[in-house]
Amino acid sequence: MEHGFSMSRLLPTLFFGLMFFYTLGASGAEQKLVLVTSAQSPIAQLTTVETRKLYLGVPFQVNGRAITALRNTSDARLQEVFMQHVMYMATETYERQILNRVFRAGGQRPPVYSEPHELMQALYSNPLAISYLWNETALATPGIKILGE
Amino acid sequence: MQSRLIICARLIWVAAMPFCASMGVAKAGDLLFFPSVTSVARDNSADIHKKHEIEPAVDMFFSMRRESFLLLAEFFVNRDEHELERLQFGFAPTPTDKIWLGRFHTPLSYWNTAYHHGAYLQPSITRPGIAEYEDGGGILPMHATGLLIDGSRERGQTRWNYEMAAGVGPTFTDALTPFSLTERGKHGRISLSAKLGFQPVGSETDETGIFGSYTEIPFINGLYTQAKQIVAGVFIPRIGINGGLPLSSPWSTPAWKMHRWFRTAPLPIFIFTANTKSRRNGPAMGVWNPAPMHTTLICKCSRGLFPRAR
Repeated sequence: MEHGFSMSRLLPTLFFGLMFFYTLGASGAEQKLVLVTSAQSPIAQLTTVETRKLYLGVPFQVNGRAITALRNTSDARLQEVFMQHVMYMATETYERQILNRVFRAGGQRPPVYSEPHELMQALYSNPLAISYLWNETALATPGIKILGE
Repeated sequence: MQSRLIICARLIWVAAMPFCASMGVAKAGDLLFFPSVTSVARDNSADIHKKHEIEPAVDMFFSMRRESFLLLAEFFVNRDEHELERLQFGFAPTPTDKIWLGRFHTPLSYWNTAYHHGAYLQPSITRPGIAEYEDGGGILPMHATGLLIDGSRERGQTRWNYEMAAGVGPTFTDALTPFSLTERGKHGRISLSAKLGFQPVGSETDETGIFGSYTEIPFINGLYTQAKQIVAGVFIPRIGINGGLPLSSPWSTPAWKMHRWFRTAPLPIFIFTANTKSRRNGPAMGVWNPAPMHTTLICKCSRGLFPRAR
């Protein structure tokens, strides 16, 4: 009796649990965040650690020239995924960290772009600029090079 | 009448800054505003502090970088003062090292170079006593005008930060008076200071380290013509320690006896601050200073206003 009662609760829970993780996995497979730059850029590859440092305001150079990190806030979910998977912190914490750095050591915060066409213009005009997009957007946009996932 | 004019001038200055921002200053660099209102009630007020205080203030900050050249300015306004706290022109010979000329905050204590005048950024409501500014009764030379070199080196997962400063330090009348870029006054003598700290790579706040300084302080009026002050200290903000031991010549006269604020101090001074690890602004954080012995009930309301970085 006890055994039957537990199974009747367990099976639907397992079913919905599996469905939930399947849905999560499917949406993750559809929308993947990629690091991008202009197709003319001399930047070949950037690791996650290098990207994180760049977005924290730590200077990083390629061929003796400084790379510029551009923030893409046109999509709230993209921004959230970037913060979780690359920066490993909440957006609020990130804002405070870069503010703290600029206030302490000078320099400027990474520029923010909330309009996709403005971000593309900035990437096209500066081959040493990097940003992040959804994989499908990057593949569909001409003149853009994917640096990594 | 004159004080009203000064207040009007300050208000005009504060009102002008957003206008400047809209005119394009913000596009050239980062323009930040930190308005704050701090209320302090003390149960045993030292002679230079009021027992009850409500202090509105605005800290304005501008920073820009063009290739290897940097400019940084911080202007602070409250009821009692309006001062160009920092004005620095910098050159970065390498991506991680910078050479600055101008007026800067000396690398004495963690507070002085991490939070500057931005109440919004600091986790406690008021500054700890060891990091108090000169005009607030502080005993260390928190401002200097001259040369500052700072930078960092990474070793594995640790980043080592260094700061070295040499410049003109403060004078002493009835309190330390730093050299001002905008007002005429007596200037001090040599002030040397340095700080060495380390923190995990990727963190901007979790730094631990040591600092020290040597300053020759001329006395404008008083018992002495000059004092030589040596300071050594340590900071571990993670557990709320930010302290220093100042010694002054003549060595039989401890530093705290030369300053009104510290006359009543029974201990010379390792000042510990109690604060929460939270970075949010809260109404119920406290600072305890053993010198002078008092408890403090305080609250702070601060806000960061910053145009979107472009």
